[in-house]
Amino acid sequence: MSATIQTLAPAAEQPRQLPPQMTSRLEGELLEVSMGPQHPSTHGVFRMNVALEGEIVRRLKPVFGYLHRNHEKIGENTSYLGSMPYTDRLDYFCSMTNNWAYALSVEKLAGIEVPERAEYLRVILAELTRLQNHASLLGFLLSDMGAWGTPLMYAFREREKIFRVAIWFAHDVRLHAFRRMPS
Amino acid sequence: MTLESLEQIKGRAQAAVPGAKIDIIPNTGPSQQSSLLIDNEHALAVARFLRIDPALQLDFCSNVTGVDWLERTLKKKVKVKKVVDGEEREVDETTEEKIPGYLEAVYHLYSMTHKHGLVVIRMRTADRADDARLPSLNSIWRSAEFQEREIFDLYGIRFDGHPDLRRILMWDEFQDYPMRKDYREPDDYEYEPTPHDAVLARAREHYAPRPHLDGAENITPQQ
Repeated sequence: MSATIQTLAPAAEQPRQLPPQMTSRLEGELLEVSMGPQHPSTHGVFRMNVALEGEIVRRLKPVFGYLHRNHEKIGENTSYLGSMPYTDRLDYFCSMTNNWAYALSVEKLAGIEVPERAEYLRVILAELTRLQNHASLLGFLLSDMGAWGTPLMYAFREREKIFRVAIWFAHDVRLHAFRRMPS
Repeated sequence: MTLESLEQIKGRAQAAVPGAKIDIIPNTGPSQQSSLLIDNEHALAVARFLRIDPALQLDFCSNVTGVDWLERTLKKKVKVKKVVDGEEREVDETTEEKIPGYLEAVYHLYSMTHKHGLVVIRMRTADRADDARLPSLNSIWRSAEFQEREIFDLYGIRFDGHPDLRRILMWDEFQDYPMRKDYREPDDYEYEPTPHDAVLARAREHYAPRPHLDGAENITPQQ
């Protein structure tokens, strides 16, 4: 679907200027399509109620909640350290940076200062995470645009190399639980 | 441009919006992240001031969230002079103050223009009733739309002036507000396919009672 989102507000109805040989039965009318929650382009369960005029999206209403993982409610019943592994899963291509964001907020809340060495390690790991995230982005983007498979495999090959480095620091390969110091 | 202190913001906002009542809620924890409590009647005008004031220009609302405060009692120890046994003495006396429960909506504001922040503003409902109401700040910060819907969904605050106030994460037929502190989740006895121990005991309470025996168990095969 090569649709472009033009506006979220209902647009003023303007008759489209079509060449005389192209006549559309739906001209001037909006076709409402429920796109999702399972759709190859959404990368997850996510529904959009779109109003289409031809190939132009006139209105769009997103519908969330098909995959709500409830971290807030889980967090009520666990400790600050216990919430740490859940922050990996918020965005599994950026697990280390999500860990960092959570660790920063807990440190701010509790008034904890981390040693300088830890700051360096965090920056290195965040940069490695960023690199592999961008590699995956390019791979998936090309895959969605029709270059099936090969670019994604190239991206994942580079990603594996980055994980070889990251595994020196962290225990797990994809979902790290590293920001937490084992007591 | 450095950000003014909360006292300065409060003073200028109150001067700009006549009649506005703004309190500073101090945060005594290590984060020292104090916030401004704005009254519901003038909330829109104060929010508009925060957004368009040239020195502030808080044009980015990064996060909106709800807080549920249950009814609580504050115990204070006060030294009181009392006459005990014909002699005046200082006696510790504890006074209890009951604070009724309320719900809060908290907005985290930054300025993209001036690259400063964070200013935290909050609004308070009168009580924890099911139709607790607050004005929507969606017309000031467009990014508040979905997050105010989320607060409505999970905390049950109704936002007046919101264009599309529906549940966002829970399904439309859902009844309760899951992030309220007094929410109890339904008895989930079916999460184990073969329940045992504590789960089995809970599951048994939900099973239909066995039908009464009809005497068929007494029939013995005829020789």
